Amino acid sequence: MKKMAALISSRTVGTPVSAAFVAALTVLLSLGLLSPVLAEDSRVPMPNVTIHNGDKCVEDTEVMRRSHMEFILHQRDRTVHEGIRTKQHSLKNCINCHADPQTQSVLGEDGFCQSCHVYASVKMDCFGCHSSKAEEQIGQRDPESSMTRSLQRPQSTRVWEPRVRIHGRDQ
Amino acid sequence: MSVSRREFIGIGAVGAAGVALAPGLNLIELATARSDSEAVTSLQRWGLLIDATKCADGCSACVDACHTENGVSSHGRPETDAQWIRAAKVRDLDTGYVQTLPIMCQHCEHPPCVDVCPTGASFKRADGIVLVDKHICIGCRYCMMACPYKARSFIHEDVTDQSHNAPRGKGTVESCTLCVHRVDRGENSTACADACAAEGHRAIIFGDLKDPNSEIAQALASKPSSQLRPDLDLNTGVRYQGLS
Repeated sequence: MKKMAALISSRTVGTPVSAAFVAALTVLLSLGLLSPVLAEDSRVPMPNVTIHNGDKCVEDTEVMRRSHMEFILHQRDRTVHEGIRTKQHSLKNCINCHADPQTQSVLGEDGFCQSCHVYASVKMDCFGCHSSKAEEQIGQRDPESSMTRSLQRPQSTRVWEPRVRIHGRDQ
Repeated sequence: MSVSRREFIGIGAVGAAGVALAPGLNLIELATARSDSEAVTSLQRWGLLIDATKCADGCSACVDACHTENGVSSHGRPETDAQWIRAAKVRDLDTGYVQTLPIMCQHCEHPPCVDVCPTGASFKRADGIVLVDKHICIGCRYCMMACPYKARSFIHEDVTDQSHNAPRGKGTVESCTLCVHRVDRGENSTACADACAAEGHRAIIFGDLKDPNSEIAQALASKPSSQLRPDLDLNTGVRYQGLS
């Protein structure tokens, strides 16, 4: 909030109109009236991806986020037609690691696959045929060691910063 | 050490014959167990041998075991329930002799289901197993009409709690996979053959038809056997003995 106010005030050199506008905005900000729009908490429910098993995925997290569907697509053809059942990019391996210890599944409201796909509004076809359950019972790991990754602040993408445009003073 | 020039050349020739001519191209391929990352090859051809004389009337061990292994469940509607294997009863009209035998996908060398499939979903693996790639099956059921053995089923309803061994879902066609998940794990049996042996009948033998040392190849070589509908020249991978 303070940063916002500073950002705005740093640009406040100019006409009395814009100065008045900025002053009004600053007052609003200080009252917290604009907080629902600019606050840290998004209005959109964000997926909270908790990884219960294993410390490391088969590829880097950023690669998996972007390309997991391609890995599974290639692997499925090799498995069905050629009988190649390596674990690295197999759907079974995904599920065995990422299933929730409570439900044993990657589906459900907090399920690893479903929570993200609901957020991204991308329909999954996998589980019309494939089992969404882990092959063997997976136990709850020590909470200290389980990794919780929030998608609210992706590491690799640019951090989103609000741009405030002051009318009448366009660059 | 005294090796004559002629002997030396002979040793070299023998050595070269067994060694690779080029990477991946060997003079003598050995049918060894493959690893997870190797594709199936036509060095094997998997099949079943069913001795109809040992098949007991009223026994459904193979059917139950298959459906348990592959998660094929009934909705209580026999007309539309999926059926990977069924016990058929045949009666000789002249003598009245009744025989029971299991019928499943016959894993033909020239499968009619593959010929007619418009998307390429119905296919034959290099090792002779005929499968449906459900990722590309559109559920047209042309293969079901083409199959002379009525071996395929269509899944009409949503499926939940699938087996890890066999993904299956609504809108696709399915049939016996010759327990391909077991074959890929290197196991030399199917659920039906195991169940039949556990019942003490031993009417079903699974194995590699191309391996002359396998039990199935030796049994086929020692006694007469037949295919169902041999007139169609499909060269089935499932063979029968003791058919009257």
